Amino acid sequence: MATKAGSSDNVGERFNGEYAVEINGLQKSFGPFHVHQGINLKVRKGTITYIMGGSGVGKSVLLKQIMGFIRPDAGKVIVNGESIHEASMRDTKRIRHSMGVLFQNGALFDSLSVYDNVSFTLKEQLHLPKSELDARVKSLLESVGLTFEHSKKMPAQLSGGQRKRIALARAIAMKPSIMMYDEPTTGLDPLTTDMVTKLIRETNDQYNLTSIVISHDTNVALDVAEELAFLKDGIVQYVGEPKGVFSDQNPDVREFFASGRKRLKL
Amino acid sequence: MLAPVIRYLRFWGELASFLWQTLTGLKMVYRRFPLIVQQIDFIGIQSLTILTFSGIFIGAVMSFQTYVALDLFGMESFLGASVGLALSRELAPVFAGIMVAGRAGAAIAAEIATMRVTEQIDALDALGTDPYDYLITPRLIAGVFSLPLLYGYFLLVGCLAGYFVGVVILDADGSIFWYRLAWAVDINDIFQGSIKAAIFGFFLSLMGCFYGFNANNNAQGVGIATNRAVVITSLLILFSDYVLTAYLPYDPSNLIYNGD
Ligand SMILES: Nc1ncnc2c1ncn2[C@@H]1O[C@H](COP(=O)(O)OP(=O)(O)OP(=O)(O)O)[C@@H](O)[C@H]1O
Ligand SMILES: [Mg+2]
Repeated sequence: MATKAGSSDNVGERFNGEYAVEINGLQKSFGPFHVHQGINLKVRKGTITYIMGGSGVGKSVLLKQIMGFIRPDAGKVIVNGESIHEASMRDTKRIRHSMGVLFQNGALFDSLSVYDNVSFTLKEQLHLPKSELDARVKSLLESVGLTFEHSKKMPAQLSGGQRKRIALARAIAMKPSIMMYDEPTTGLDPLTTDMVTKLIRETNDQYNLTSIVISHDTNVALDVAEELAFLKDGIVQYVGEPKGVFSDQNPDVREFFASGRKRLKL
Repeated sequence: MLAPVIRYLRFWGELASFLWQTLTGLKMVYRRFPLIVQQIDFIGIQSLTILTFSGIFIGAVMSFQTYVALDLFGMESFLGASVGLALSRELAPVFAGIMVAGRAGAAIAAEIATMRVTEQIDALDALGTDPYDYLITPRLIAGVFSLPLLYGYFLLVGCLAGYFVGVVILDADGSIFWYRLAWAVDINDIFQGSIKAAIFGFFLSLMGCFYGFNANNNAQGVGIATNRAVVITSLLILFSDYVLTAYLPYDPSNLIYNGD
């Protein structure tokens, strides 16, 4: 467990008693199908929290409820102290601006160049002169490990890892305080997985973010998560430090994380 | 028993709410001028080739059949009038509408459905840009603006092709063709044809956007959205064409032939 040093040991000092996101008694059904049956979760400011669970347990739906795209049937989502589903349309927009999302496959705008993708929000929200815009795009690309050279390319010309980096640059352009990642490493090769994981870590520190990462990659999560939540059957089955999962009383929790470990040993 | 009724009502409810959201995007429309121009290029300019060919064939076949029928009664001097009237009032708006629905309407549905499936629409929302205002409104405006112009173009091409077939290939008199055409087709016909075309342009953009926007988030989603958009738009065009023909004011008295 040497790799874990430096991940969870400094949570305590960065946590200042405030929560970036609080989820209380969240319920959501699609027709007869109950996805969430009372989710409770508090995400501490400044941490990297992994939300884990099998396919179809409603991880993406949870993210969309935090963003305010999907309205819960019951319960509350409080983002930086404000209840996003009870806010006016205008306030919802403002609260959303404090959040950035990296969607499952990046969700870059296919019809726009890398430059236009990265500068999208800057152009939409601010009226910056071209030179200023160039400078910002350049620094955003550099902060995700790319150069300005990439800005003329179209998304179709990029590799999976590059797309994720550019989507990240686009998401942090307006300096959100919370960054959410929907399965950032699913479908990537091991090297790119490491690269993206490192980037999440670095971005979290560089921009003083709270990071919420949705994933079913147990190995990565055990490695970098400071806080870990496990979803199953519509509720949070475990929340706490990653190292606690193997000694948890709930067999579902132990089993889910052990299966990842077993694969590692093969 | 009740399920189809509920589905039907839900469809109209969703469509109305979609339209409402789009209309609220209108107040910011001046900001979207570049996107509107881009869409006019896509829906309008890029449809010119397909409309050139369909205009030629429709005008030609119309002229051919009409000539054969009129010739039976020795009335081939009315060829220009028949071709001009049929094209300006019905054929040009309906065919332009259906052709552009198949080309641009389908492409709009596919593009927006792809954006839905790949979460690009969620990304717009997440980045604080209203997807209705950014995606839908410009396409609706471009559709309504482009189709009347495409209608005019189709009409011109169709009449020229009709002239070619009737006069050059068959044996109608050239100057009488144009004389009767100008006598029969008045500004009101062109105006009503343009109104129809604008309405059809509205339908094809609206349905393309609507089905694309509500596409199912899976592999078949894009195909289903595209298919539905084209089928429903075509039916809507044919149906509303009848309604518009029946209810738009029309005064046929200027067609009473007084022997000149
Ligand atoms: N808009 C919707 N309408 C109906 N059902 C939905 C909708 N969105 C999600 N669902 C259903 O809710 C369940 C949870 O979906 P979700 O996408 O959140 O899963 P997930 O945990 O992210 O899974 P994965 O790891 O595969 O991405 C799924 O069964 C899905 O079919
Ligand atoms: Mg998901």
